[in-house]
Amino acid sequence: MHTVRRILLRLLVGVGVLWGAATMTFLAVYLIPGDTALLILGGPDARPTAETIAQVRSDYLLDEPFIVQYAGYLGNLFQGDLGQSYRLRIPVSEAIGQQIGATGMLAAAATVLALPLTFAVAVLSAQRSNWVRSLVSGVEVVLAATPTFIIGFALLIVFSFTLQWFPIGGDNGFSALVLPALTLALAVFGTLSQVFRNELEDVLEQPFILTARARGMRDLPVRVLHAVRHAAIPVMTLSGFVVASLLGGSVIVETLFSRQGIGALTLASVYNKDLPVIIGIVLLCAAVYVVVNLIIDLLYTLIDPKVVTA
Amino acid sequence: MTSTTLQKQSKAPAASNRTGPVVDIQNLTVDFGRGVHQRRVVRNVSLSISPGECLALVGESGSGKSVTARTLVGLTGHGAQVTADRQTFNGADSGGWGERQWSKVRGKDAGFILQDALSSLDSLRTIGKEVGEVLRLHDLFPPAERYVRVIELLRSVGVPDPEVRASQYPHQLSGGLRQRALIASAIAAGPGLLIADEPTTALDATIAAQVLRLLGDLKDSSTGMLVVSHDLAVVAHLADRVAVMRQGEIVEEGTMEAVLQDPQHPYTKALLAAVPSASSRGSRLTGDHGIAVEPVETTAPESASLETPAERQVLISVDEISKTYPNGVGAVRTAVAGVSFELKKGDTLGIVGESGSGKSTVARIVLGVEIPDTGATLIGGRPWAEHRKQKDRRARRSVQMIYQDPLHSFDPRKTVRQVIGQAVTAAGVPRAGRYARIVELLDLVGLDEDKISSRPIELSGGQRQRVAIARALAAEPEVIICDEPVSALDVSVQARILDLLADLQHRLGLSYLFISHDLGVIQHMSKDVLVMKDGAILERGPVATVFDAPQHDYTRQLINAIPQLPTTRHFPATKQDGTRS
Amino acid sequence: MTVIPGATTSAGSAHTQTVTGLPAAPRDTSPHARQRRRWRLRPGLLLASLFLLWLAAAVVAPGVLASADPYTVNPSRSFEAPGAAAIFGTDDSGADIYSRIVHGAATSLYIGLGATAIGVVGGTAIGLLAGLNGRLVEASVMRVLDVTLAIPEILLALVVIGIIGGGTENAILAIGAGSIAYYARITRAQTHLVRRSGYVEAARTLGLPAGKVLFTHVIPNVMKPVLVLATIGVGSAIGAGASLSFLGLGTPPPAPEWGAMLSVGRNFISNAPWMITIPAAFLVATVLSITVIGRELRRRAEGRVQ
Repeated sequence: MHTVRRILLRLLVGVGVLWGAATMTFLAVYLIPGDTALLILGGPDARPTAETIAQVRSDYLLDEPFIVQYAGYLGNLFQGDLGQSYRLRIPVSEAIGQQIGATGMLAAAATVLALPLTFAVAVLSAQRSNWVRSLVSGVEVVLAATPTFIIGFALLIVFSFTLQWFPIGGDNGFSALVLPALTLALAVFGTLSQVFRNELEDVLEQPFILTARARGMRDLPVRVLHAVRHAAIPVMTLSGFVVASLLGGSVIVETLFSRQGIGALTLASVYNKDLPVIIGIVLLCAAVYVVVNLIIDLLYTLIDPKVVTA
Repeated sequence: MTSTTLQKQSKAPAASNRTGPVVDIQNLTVDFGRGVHQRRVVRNVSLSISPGECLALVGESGSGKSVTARTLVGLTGHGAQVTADRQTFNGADSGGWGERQWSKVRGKDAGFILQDALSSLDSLRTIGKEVGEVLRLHDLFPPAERYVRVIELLRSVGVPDPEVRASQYPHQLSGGLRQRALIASAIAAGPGLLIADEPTTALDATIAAQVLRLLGDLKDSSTGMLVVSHDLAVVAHLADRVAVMRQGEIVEEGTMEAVLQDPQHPYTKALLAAVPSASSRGSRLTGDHGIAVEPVETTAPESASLETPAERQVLISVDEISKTYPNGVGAVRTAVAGVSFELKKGDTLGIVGESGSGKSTVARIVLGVEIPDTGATLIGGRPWAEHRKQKDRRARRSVQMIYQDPLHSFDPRKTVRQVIGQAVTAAGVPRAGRYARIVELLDLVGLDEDKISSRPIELSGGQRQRVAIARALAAEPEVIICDEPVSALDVSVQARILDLLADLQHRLGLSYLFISHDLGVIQHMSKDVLVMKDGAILERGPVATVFDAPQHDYTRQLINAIPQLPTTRHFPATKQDGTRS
Repeated sequence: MTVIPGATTSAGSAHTQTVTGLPAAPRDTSPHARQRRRWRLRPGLLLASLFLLWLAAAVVAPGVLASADPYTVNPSRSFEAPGAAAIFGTDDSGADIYSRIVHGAATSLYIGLGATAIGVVGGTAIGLLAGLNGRLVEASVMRVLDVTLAIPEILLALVVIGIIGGGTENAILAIGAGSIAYYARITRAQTHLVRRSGYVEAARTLGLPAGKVLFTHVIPNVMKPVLVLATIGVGSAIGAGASLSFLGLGTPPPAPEWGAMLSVGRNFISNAPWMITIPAAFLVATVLSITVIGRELRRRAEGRVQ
């Protein structure tokens, strides 16, 4: 009962976020000075014909008053119509649909690498002797401070050019996925592990940990059975950061490793000022964010009894 | 309350019929840190506990009592260097034990009870799972029987409806039940040594008294017990012997009777004298006269003495105030329900009550930072609302407050000089006179002038409270609201702050609204007292009347729950004389 | 005399020494000891400070540190490996990489400081607006911020560039705009904390006017942690600027900007890896140094001086 109400409420909030993102992108395009039709077609440099401009004006209801334009825009979105990519000359939803699989795979592979790595490093290094902690936290700080594309360069130089274990790029098969996924995973790991380890160290200071050890529980079981769940709760709020790093990082990684995907599509659209596609990707990100938050919220109810019974 | 019938028949075989001490340590020293950071926390401590004996370790914060207790079961902590001439557990040399050996003993042969069961129980697990963990770790009963044993244990420590409680989480239980569950988990394996570290400190007085009785019931001929406390009175009836610790050393040790009746060490004497109570009323708690002007009765406060009590001015009049808060699920929680009282010039009105009784909300309404839903607070005959409307700063300054935790009431960026300086400026002291006034105030509260450029975070708890008092005085108030002003302080520091407040009242003719959960403090400080429960006043009157002849059941419970230092006449008959070493 | 080995697992001073279950091991709190702790530099901190000093020199007087012209095209000297003639080698057009690094420092810091300034000014304005006003204003501002949270900062920057175009100044604007929501959120959270704090209440009960309380207590205590986090933010902004240049959307190539150098070097990664490793090393060292200093400032601001 309580859980169902919570989920419904969350869904409502999620719809609100999507609506907000749609409205903000609409306002951004609407409020920019100059000819909106020209802007949608990629600016004056794109040299669109008078015909295409007229087409856009009627597609986007640009000659109508603001409220009609806005209603038309939302109406189209509601039907899944994100408009037409004038660069690719296909509907935006199709352009995104073609690329989403590749990026989804990359993000999934990166997550599968990053989460166990974070878990293991944090559990094993929290509250250890100083040199272990200094070493681990040094690596974390360096990784967190290093821009994603430089992590990628480092992996390329070591594993592709020097050791020649993996290809330098492309979309062909598993071996081409390893370095891109590892790049993204390391970019996430640096920050995530710092936070998780700090949380874990705070939890290990708690009296209930002392109580568990006083019952005769050994150190590692105390960490895994008692401390990890407590530390995971605040770390889960970082899921937004993780999703953002994976999506944002895909732009870099897909460029660096010459891969297909949403990131590559984003970049090509930005180069060509293909505004309908950019708007579509913004809405996609908002949708992913909403879904991930919903999942995290369900996880909370599984982990924390206070959420359910409070 | 369920009677606490304890079932000892299933005591684990490990608690053997050994006759030697359960633990014995000689010349224990514990250091933390290395090099310039090295701090010696425990020095040359020797103690031993025999089966059937209860030893109390008493001391103020930083005395090393908790570290000593933890070292007995190898839980000294990270970065600790422990040395001892001898350290035995159940007769075996435990000096060189590592994690592996200790983990076999902990829980099974030694149970550990910490204060504040809310944070000492894993909040993400059910009570039943927490209690059962001991049995699982030491493989004590067949898995199928463990649940039955857990229920049995919970029932034996007085948890009603143990089947229901076992499936609940710590946050769903009251403080008293949580502490009982924690005790159940500590005694689950029938250990021969039970260590309780401040077992009642986080509890309300009436609950604390019940838990103490439970611990007393757990004493039997085969169990050695160590109780750690900052409060001698708490353990006076429980322990057979007491060791008083100070700055890492045991300064005095002996039977509880001997130490209480005839303390040898000056520190023990000071500790015993520093406890506020009804009998300490009107006298100083410390021999310390570090305060600027000699006390007390010699300098009669002019304003207060000129008039007879009957015609003394009413400073604050609280008229039928009520306050509710939304509780988050649509309903409301009543914090204060129809409270009225008056505070006259030069008086101290005590408000006593347990947590959640609404006493702090009353304080904040009187201070004018919380607005009551109904009723009014009259300051100098006019309600707060009017003062606020007319921006009457004089009235605003006439009521000041000092808090339990003064640190949070200081801007972290400001020094003592800036903190007090701001109050001095707000009181309208011209720029030229401000520094002199700050120094004067510091002198008044017994702080050295060299603290003037410190930040409050660099000061001790007692010094911080003095700064807070100085700031309150800078506003030249008529009334100071003291909300648990000494609750976070060690008893010797508490004594000095209470003496200071009493001196200031005599010298400046101040009135106090004094809020505390500690009946001893209230009896020591107040002239009249209000007893609050669930937002309402249950009983009121002069302190002596209320405490000597309480009208209400709840008041009687509160009074009975005060831990008393036994006097010669009713010192408990000592049992188990044979087991004493 | 027996020593218990299990208890001596760790000791030292670089990190918080703690006893399990105890708040902290007792320690020397005398003013002198605090002073000692405050001024005892850790090696990492020292290195970071020295590197930032070098960087500052490169910004103020690049010509003194590197005499060669960073723009000189000299095809006969292209792809020289690091050595005596050119300490960090030369690039595809024969320009001296060391000189380009030194002259590029200013652009990197310009992007980092500029973007952070936009983020902090915009973010604190919005955060204070939300934190100091009524519930309605606050709720609406926070909902808008929730929406921006759904979109990764780099994507937000790309959207801005997609609309206004690339280049150094536009990159600054784009990165700065992308970080406004972050600063707005921490400002609002901090404002709430400070407004409810005991010291603000104490100041009010002393009869201080609301405006005075706002300017002497609220705003300084809100800004302090925000500015400390902003120092770390300068590092991230420099990284983001280099990323945009690498993607070809920030500072365009002939300019000696580190990200742009990496973008060009990518084409020669197999035959002239120093075109990647050298700018990458300087970029990472810069972001890292700023992060290390920023984290130390944060530790001190939180009163965790060790």
